[in-house]
Amino acid sequence: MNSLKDFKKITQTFIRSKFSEYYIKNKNNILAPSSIESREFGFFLFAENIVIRHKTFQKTSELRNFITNIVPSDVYHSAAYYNDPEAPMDKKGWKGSDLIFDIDADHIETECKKKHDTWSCIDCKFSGLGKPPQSCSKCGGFKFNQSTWMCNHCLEKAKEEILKLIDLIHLDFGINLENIRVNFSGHRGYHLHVDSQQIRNLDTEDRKEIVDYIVGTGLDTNLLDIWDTSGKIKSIGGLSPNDPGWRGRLAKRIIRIFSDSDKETLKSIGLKPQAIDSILKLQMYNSNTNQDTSWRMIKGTGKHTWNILIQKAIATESVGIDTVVTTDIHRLIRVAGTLNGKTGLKAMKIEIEELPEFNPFKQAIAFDGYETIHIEEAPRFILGDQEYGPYKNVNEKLPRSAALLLLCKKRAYPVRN
Amino acid sequence: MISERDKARYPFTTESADYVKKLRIEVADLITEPYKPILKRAEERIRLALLKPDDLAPQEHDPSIEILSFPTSIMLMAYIDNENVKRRYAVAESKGFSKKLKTESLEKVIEIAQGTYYWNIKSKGQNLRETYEIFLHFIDYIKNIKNMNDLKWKLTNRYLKDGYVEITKNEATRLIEEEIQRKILKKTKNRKVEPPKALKEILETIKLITMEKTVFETFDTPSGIKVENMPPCIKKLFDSLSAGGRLSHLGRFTLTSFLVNTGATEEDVMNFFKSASDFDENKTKYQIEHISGRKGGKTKYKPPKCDTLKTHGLCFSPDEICNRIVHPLTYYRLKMKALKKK
Ligand code: SF4
Ligand SMILES: [Zn+2]
Ligand SMILES: [Zn+2]
Repeated sequence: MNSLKDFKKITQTFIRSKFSEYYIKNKNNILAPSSIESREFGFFLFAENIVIRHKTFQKTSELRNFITNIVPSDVYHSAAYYNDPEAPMDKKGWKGSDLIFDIDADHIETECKKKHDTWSCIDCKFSGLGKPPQSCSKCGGFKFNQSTWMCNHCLEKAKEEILKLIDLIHLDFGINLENIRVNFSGHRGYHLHVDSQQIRNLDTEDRKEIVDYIVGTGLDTNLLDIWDTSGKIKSIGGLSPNDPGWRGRLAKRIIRIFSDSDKETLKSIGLKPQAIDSILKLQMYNSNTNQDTSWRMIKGTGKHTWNILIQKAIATESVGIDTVVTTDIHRLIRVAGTLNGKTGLKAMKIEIEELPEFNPFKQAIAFDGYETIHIEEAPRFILGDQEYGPYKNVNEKLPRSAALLLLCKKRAYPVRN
Repeated sequence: MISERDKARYPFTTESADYVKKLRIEVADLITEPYKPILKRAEERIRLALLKPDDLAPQEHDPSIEILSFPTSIMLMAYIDNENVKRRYAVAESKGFSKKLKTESLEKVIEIAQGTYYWNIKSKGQNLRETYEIFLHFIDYIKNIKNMNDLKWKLTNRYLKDGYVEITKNEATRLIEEEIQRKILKKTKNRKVEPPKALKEILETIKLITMEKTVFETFDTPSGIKVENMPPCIKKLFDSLSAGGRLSHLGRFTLTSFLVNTGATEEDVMNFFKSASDFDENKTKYQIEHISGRKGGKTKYKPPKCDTLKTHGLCFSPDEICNRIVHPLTYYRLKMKALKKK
């Protein structure tokens, strides 16, 4: 009989051999960051707990050969530029860093997490769906095992966030689109890199200020000059979608709330019947005349209602970035064109124009062919054009990409056929 | 144009610095008769800055003395071994300058910002709002709001478009004040060499001035960890760790540095962390030593400011006292003080 440890080992060796085949064929798709010689590289190996850090390469070809020889499970480069990237951290000589944003389904609230993510209490084995609670409702314990899944809906949400982010970075911060690069992480999210001389020298505090703007932290509607002295919202002159900054964003969002919401939604926001009536009438009027002035003439809305609307607009416009990643000027970030060891999917660069249509479940597939595996447990999922599962304790012959996803997610082990 | 008079009023400008450079004056010259008034005015600058900052107005009668006295006082301050005093000097000088700047025309303010601090300012005219007079690039803007606590400075609350922030002339002068202050602080960094003999006497005088006003900021180093005095954010981290919960990297750092800075011993902190669910003895030990300044950089780390904790979602149900502070350590000190009075 094989022990659990052996299965683990066999699975690792198997995944590694597939990764190796992939890199031999596709090493030219590995994209090195700019100024490769000033970057630090880091690698996770399949053998557990082995990390190679402080590596450097002079040329892209060196990096590609290294990856093909070593076959790591995950490959990272520093967002920073160093004088001596091989030196220990405090001796590297920081020269600057790209501005990095990480949008990950882990940080976004979605309903479907209750369907595909699970947790279990380490102490009493009590388990549940979605995110783990503050404390176990059965034994009061605080330690949980978590198991997450990547799903289409979660990734669509992440994509919405990244599109909002691009908008802000480009329109508000005036960064040229040529200096913005978007990568799919190969798992549950997207990374955005701003690579431009202008922003390289920003320190952690500067980046924090940018983060606060993007998330809307510290936003004070009193300072945005929305209210008049009597506490009423300023009418027509007050808030315009053409205003710069958060003002304009809030105006645009409120207009969208008004023009896209049905009666139920408006009710749930907390609007009074009189206001709802007048909005619905204006929706009609606007769709007939192709205008967008509705929100300025609504009767029956007081400061209270406007506050609700504004709060809702802030929550919707705020971008769900991982704040710690952006403020960390020594961060390591996944190299595009490499495989993600948690899924066997490609971490890859996406052209901004193609982002709205990008489908990670199709375009990030790295393998073809078939594999037979034993699946312990897996939920229903979609990959490529096919739907799979749910599975429980079965042997299946699956397309290799689906098989690798399950193997990498530790839901299966290979079977010799 | 920066006139002769401007150079005297604003001796921090590039134009003034160039003028001074061309004179090629040596330190030894300063005590010779013709230069004595400069040294005297420099001493006066420092005296006023430290004791009566509101009177630190430029002397209008002799521009050349005025121009030279500024770099001379900075040179003198560099020999003073007291960061607080230097800071106070820098604040007073920069405030004095910005007060003057407020009375200047918009053109002059822009000229100084661009000429001396290389601000990226967009030419006015394009969709200019009545009250906002300058479009300043966000990078120059955020570099200069680090010391501002008023929410009105937060980028989030500004009009930002195409990379430019709209500001008024008065706001611009306030931001220039920050530039001046930073530059003075940078230039007065300790030189750590013996001052030239010629300056011994005047430096003694300055030291006396600084002693008149030095506030000794002593805080008690309490022993043990007083949970009831912790601010809500730290209390939250503390509680969840005590209960065996898991903290984010930043949460861990915040808690550890807070404890270390309020007088907990490394051993106390170590024992405390043993209850954590993901306790790793070596890692924790390394972190604690690092934060307390025994390993690595040798500087003791402070916990992040409230502002930073807010950014990362670690500020948790702030209370009354929180409204008065910008740093969680201040919260602790305020509470300790209040306790003592009882
Ligand atoms: S305001 Fe500061 S001290 Fe108070 S809870 Fe928030 S972060 Fe902590
Ligand atoms: Zn339990
Ligand atoms: Zn989902």
